[in-house]
Amino acid sequence: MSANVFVLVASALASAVEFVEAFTVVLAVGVTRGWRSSLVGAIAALVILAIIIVIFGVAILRLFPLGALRTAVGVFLLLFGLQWLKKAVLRYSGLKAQRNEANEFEHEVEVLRGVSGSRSGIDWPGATASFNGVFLEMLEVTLIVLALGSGARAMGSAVIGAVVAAAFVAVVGYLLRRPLERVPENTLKFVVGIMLTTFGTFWAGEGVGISWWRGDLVILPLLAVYLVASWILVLALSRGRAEVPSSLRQAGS
Amino acid sequence: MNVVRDAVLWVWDFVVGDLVLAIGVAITIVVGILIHHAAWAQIVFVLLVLATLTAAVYRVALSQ
Repeated sequence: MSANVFVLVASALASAVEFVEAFTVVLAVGVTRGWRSSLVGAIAALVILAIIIVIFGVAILRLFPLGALRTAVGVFLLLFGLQWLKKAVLRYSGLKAQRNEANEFEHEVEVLRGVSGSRSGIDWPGATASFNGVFLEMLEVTLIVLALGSGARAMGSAVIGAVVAAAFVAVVGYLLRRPLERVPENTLKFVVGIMLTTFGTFWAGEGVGISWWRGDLVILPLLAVYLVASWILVLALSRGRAEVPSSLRQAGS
Repeated sequence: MNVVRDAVLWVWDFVVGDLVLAIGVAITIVVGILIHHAAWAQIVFVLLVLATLTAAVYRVALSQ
């Protein structure tokens, strides 16, 4: 019994880390790119992974070499996160107009009126980011459950631990949804860009074989490094703009 | 078919949308593969990501 409790707790804790990472991506995409796209990506990842597990079972380990998958997802998130971060830095330094939500809404309504029925309604970058994050993390949860469950011959405890962790993270994430939606979108995109770049760096690095300092915990210092670096870029670009006379800027634009 | 068309257009835009970022990330991955055994590989990896971001931002800033 004690072995089962140990497996349950270990599975819950290890899975919770992966669920938090997956949920962070889903939450970030949902708040910034729309819940529909985020959920479509996440549900598609879960369905495809479930089908693969049912068909291939434990052979999943041979089907998806984790290193290659981490590299592919890491590269995608790096590209996606860096694009957002670049736009956010340019907006905060005054080189790109800040998003005006009222104008964006009007523009979107006009676009939808003009091409009514011709849009899929799915935001592909958002849905793909959500799909990638959920697929990779849920695959890792599967591996954790398989390893702990088969190693201690307590598959039931390992599965229950993972389910408890998933429910806990889902409830906390749902409660955080509303407060996050009140944060200004420019700020949110800046933060999300940093988060996606951080996860992208971490997964791509793991994929190519880099051993990160303190494993998953390196995500926190990575976040801090990208935050500080982005802010330095904003300050440097803002100062550069201030030093150029406005008449010259107008002549050059 | 709109879903497929949107997806194809997005992938095209994503890949060629910002060549500086694409080249920077490609260099980061290749260098990461080459030096991944070294203890300092993680520092170089992060520095290359930061260099990619800086290059992409300054390309836009200098063009204005």
